[in-house]
Amino acid sequence: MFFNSYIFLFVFFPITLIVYFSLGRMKLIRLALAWLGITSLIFYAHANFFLFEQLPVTPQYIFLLIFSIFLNYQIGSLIRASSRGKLWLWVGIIINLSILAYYKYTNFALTSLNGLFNTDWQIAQLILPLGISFYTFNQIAYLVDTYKGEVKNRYSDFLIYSVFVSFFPYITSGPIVRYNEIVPELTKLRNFFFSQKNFALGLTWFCLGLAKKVLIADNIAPWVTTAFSHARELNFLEAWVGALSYTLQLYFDFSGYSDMAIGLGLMLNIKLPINFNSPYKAVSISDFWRRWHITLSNFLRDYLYIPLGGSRQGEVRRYTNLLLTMLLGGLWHGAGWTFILWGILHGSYLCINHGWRQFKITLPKFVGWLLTMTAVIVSWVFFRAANLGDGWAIIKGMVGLNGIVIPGNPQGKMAFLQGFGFKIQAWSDLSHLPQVFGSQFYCILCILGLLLGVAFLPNTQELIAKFKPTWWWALPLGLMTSLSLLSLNRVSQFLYFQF
Amino acid sequence: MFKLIPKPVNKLISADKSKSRNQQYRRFSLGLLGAPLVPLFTVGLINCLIDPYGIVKTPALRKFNLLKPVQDDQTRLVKPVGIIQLKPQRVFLGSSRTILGLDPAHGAFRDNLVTYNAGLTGPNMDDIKAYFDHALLNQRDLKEVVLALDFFMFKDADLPSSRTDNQILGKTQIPPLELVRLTLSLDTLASSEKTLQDNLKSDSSEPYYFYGMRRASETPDKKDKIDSFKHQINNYLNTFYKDYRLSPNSFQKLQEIIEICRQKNINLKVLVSPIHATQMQTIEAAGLWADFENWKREISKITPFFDFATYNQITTEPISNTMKNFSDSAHYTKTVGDLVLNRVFNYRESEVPKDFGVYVNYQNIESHLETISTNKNIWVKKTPQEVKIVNNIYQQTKK
Repeated sequence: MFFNSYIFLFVFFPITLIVYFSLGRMKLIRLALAWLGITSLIFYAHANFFLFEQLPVTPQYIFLLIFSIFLNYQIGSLIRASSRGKLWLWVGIIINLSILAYYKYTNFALTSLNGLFNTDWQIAQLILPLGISFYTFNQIAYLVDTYKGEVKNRYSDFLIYSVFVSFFPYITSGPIVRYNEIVPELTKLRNFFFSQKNFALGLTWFCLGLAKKVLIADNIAPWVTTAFSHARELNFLEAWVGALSYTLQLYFDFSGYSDMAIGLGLMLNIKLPINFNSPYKAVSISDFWRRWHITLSNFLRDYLYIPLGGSRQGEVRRYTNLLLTMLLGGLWHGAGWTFILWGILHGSYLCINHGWRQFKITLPKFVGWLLTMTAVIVSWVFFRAANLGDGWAIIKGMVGLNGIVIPGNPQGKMAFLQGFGFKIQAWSDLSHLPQVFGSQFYCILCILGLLLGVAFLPNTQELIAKFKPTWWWALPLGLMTSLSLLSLNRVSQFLYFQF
Repeated sequence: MFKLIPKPVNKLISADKSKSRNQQYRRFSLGLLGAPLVPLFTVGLINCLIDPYGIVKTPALRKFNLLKPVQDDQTRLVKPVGIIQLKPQRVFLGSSRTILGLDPAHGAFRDNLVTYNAGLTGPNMDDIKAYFDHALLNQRDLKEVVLALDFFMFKDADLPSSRTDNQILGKTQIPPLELVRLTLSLDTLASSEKTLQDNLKSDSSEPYYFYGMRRASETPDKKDKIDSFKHQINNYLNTFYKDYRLSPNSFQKLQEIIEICRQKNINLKVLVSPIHATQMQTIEAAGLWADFENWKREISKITPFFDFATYNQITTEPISNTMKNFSDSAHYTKTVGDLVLNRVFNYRESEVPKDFGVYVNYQNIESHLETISTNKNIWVKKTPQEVKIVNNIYQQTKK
């Protein structure tokens, strides 16, 4: 089930919450924990049965999750107890990555090999187990932390571990969490008692996330589809509208989802890490990665970049490590050349970023922001495009290789521009430009408005920092939430479910 | 001074403070959870009263909600609900041709069976089979099925089917959450608004839909007939006839329906819907004539059927603003639909033109196809203008 479905909002979550705190009130702490584990499994199972109507149901993946939990918990114990901790750590990492690779990359690898060697190896199309990218990373981090001795012995407990892996707010789409972050939350006695404050804050957080997802991202979604499904026919304006729409959609969708997850956690007294911090305010690419999908960049930094040597083994190794980290980061998002290119692009951006720092010239903030945004938008085009050719076609449109088209009357006042190589076309001829309230111009205004919003307005956590439990907060939020609830009856899914 | 306050009181004050703080948070949460109730309730009430899709069965009043034009775009919601509510013993399965042409109150049905037109817009054979199953699930004593087939239904392609479809189809009642979802929705509110506006404009006292059949449009078609024809031909060339291939799975579905009918003793009538000669010319222009013939050939191997998609008095009616048989190249009128049912149910056969509706089986299929082919050539020679219209549109779409 999605967070924005009626069954989740009105049935699943209220029951989960009421039973959880009732058990807490009766001091049945273990039972309360078990309840969280059970509801998380129900959440996961429901998703495997009902989430994607066009796909077959995948009950076997529920067992895959349970198997993965058992296995990693055992390996964790072995790492702690055995003198060959390192060996067990590697066994664990290899098993986890092999399972991930099998489900995620087999089809892609076969298609690529077949293309390369003109062969025809085939296996049945594998459906990606829901959340596998996220729960694999969570558990690898657990194994590494255990090896480093950072997981305290008193926290070693199978029930707690199961809840840590399967906790429903983050199992399908993150944030990526660490054992040491979550477990103290699951063991504090105080957290099993309902907290009016946390509930109010969590609810606010959730409602803000829901609005970002339902009122903004879902409304932009069709614009993105229009552009990217006609990638090779777009002119300058249409290509930019498509690219910017996706840039905005992805942010509002994914950060909205993360906000909802954080809100749900908070209502259950469990604090989850922040995943976004106004990424589109970034003035450099490394700044961007400190603000975008923060838990993933932290994971890549701590469990990939630094173990690879980070910046400690000379400049050449540093650049290689950066490239490799981002390349694998790209591949983690999905099996496809577009994701690989996306990774390479971001790896290169980071290398350029580090190279530039050697010159010790600080660019004006606005220039830094503009450069960063452009680089990010270009990378998103490939991230979303169906294939490299489509992505390239949109980029060509964006730089004006398909002609720079200005909407207007070809015989009107702007006609003189045609002398300077611009094309003037009537609005009605810009067929891939979406309409808002029947006007394409409004659509462009919306995009500009949203861009200004992400560049200047406070983000969710900044808003929450100003939170006061007053009617001035409750009523507008309530009104916004009613709009969100009334907009749920649309076909929509979270973008990050695919990864 | 302060020291004089004994310790427990100090504690009491701080407890009081946190209590009042807690109350503030509680009030806030209740406010935030309560505030949406007012708009939700208002929207829900409006949607229930107007009932734009006809799923909550509030009374239909003239000048208010009698006409439900939005149902036209929501057949995949309206039809499964109709079957659940009426539990029909006789169903018509087919496409928009069925919706517009086949009358559940036709004179041939003098029995008291509840008859329902379950035609859908743009279905494929997977859809048809699913609706057949749905009808059977909701009426174990299903007596009769009229199955009207179209060439495009057998296309090998994944046609997107809407989501609401799946939530109700295959159920014996509308899931309560689905009802909530459909009622508390801004999309439905927009449909309610359109419904109200259309009703205010219209003087009709007849609803659009009668047991699933779409009654003729309230606002008479002001467009020139020829434009409707051109629009439809263009539409088919760009969608259904584009990259057309016959799907073996579709024949399998047909086979399954026939098998189930045989087992359960359900009287099944299969027919191929009438289409205008220009529509057949469109199939020819798209290079699909051999597929069209093979399609009928394959059907005849599975079941005998009435073929109305031939060159006959009805389908070769010249295009004009006063024509009686077709509203466009692909959709016949109720007048023709009545004749179709007359033929299929041996009712007042004298009214039916002799060449309209040929009973075809595996024995006479080849000679039947040959006759069609001959008649096609005659028609092409006789009506070069209509042929030219089709060919021009084809040339344009190719560009």
